[in-house]
Amino acid sequence: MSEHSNNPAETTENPLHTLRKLLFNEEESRIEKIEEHIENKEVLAKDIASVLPEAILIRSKEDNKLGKTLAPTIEEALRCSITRDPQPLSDALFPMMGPAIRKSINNAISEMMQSLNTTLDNSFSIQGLKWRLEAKRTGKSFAEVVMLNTLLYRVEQIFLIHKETGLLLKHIALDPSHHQDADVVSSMLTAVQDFIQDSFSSNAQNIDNLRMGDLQIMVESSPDVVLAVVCRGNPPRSLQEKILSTLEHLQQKYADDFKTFDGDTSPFDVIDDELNHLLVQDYKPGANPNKKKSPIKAMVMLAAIALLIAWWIGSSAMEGSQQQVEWEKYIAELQSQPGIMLGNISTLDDTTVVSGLRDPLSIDPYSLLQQYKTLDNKHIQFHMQPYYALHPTLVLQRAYQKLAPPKSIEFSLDQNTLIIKGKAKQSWLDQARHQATFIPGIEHVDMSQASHITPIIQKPDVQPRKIPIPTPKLTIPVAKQETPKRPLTDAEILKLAIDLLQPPATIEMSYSNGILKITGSASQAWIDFAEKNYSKIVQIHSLYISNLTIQDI
Amino acid sequence: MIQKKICILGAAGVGKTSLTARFVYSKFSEKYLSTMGVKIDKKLVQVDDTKVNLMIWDIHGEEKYKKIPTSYLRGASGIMMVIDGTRPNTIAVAEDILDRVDETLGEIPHIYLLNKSDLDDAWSISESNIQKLKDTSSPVYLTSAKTGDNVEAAFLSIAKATLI
Repeated sequence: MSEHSNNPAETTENPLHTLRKLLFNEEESRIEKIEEHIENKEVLAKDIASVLPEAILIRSKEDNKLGKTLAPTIEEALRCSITRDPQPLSDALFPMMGPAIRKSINNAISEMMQSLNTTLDNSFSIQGLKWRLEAKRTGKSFAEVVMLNTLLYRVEQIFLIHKETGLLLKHIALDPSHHQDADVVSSMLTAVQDFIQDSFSSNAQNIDNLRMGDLQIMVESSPDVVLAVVCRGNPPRSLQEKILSTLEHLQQKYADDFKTFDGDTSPFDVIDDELNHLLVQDYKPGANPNKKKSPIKAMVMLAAIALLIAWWIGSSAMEGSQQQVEWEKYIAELQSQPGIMLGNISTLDDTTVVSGLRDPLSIDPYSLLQQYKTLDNKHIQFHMQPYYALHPTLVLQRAYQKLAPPKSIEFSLDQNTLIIKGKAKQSWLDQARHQATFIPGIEHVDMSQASHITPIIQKPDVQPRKIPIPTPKLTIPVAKQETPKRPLTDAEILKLAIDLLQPPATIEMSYSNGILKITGSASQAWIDFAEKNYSKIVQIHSLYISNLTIQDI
Repeated sequence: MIQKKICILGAAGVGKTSLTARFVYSKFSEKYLSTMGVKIDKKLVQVDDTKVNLMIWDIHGEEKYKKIPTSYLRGASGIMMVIDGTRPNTIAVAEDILDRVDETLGEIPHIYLLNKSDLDDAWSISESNIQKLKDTSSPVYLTSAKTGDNVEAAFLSIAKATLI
């Protein structure tokens, strides 16, 4: 077989290929390298990375589109980072957070002091009171009256309007919440201008001023835009000049954007900073509420408030402490009372509940509480169960109550034995002997010192009278006078009786053999007194009053 | 935000204000209409992916001795020309206004609204007249401010046209 190829293409291409290699070998290898740079992503990334910072820098200087393009990506990246782990971002922000917070707090305190100062000035000064009266009289709010009286002028809104279309390019307001239809207002302002120009065939380029009450719209116009500034009060001429210079600056800076405006307002989003300085206000001399004033008034006020709070806290604490001491004293005293046994002391809401046992003859806890003035008895409740206490005082008291002894009888207690001394009717003595042991605390009765008496006191001629039942007493009856060493004569005993009873002149008294005889007439009160007291003279055992009559008053 | 000024024009009594009110549901500046001859409303509409704030200038009706002030037309991006379907002569008025619009603003997008389509018995515009309007290559809508038929579609159409 021949070595020559049978393929005609090969025979023709080889020389071409060789020729091409000879002619373009160098270029071919360069193209291959370029292709490799473009097609190999790794190499391409390296190439872009090498010029990326410079490219960003150059583009950032040209316009703000790069920022706008990157903003969503950066926001998303931040969101992802925070979601994944907020720590790195918070670590990065930490060094600036502290100073920022401190600055914010300082500003807030400073503003609060200024605000407090202004409030004090406006509220407590004569002028402030006058304004309050004016507000009441006119039906306006106090803030409005203060503003009207102190304000020279205040720029409230700024409209940057595209002259040809009347469309709003930018709107800035002191209080943005009040002005939601700025775009319609902008169009209406343009319409008003057109209407006036058409109506009066005016050659003037623009309306300079519109005034309605204390509201003024200052208008300046450039070839492409209109700047309308809504102002309250009487602005100085300098404001108009300021508006004009701002407008000139904007016209110069954004001339191309204004001319090519097709309804897209986004190029003017950044214009705020250049308009904000027109949001100015000025107050009458000495009336600027925002002017920095010495915070002395506010500090004095705050100090006074702090002192009041401290005093209130201190007095409350002292009162609380005093009440606590009183309460403890009261509980101790109550616990020491015979017939009182305290159990649980608890607090429910603002009420203290004391529970325990109480003998009905013991002291009433509420009456004892009255002696403690600082304790509020409305917030104290007693839940006391009744019981019989075996305290000697209460047992004796109970004996007096149950047995109702005559005056001539005395009780005393020895352990659980009731000792009865004195004289009484036999019937009472019998009854007492029988009933005494039924009284809680008494198991035995000693009547060895008791004797019976014969009832000779009679009053046949008078109506029967009730003899008062002696009231049981805690204390032992008053001791009788000492018995002299020698026996007294009847006359001496009679004299003692007369001294004691002090009979009226209508009474005659005689004494013999232990019986005091009273005759004549006397008042019921004196007769009662005599009956009550004759036994204080130990020698007198009985009283004879059969011939005694009651005097009519 | 994209803003566009559109003007709604036509002879007196064709239903311009009613159409606007039907579309906007607002009576913000109606009081200006009688004194200044213009009422301005706004409506935010969505055209594909774009939000468009339409500033609608409802300009008083053209009458013999009360022409539409051309100053009100300045800067408009679109015109809605309203014709009363019960009054054929309002077509001529509309054409006359459009001529002046063209003189003032140059050619800008506009659409025809043949209004009062609910009044079947009184309808007086012939099919041939409607066809003539369609031949101008401007969209034609048969609308009714009373029933709301085609009102929104007409406003969306002009909004879309202003973006092209």
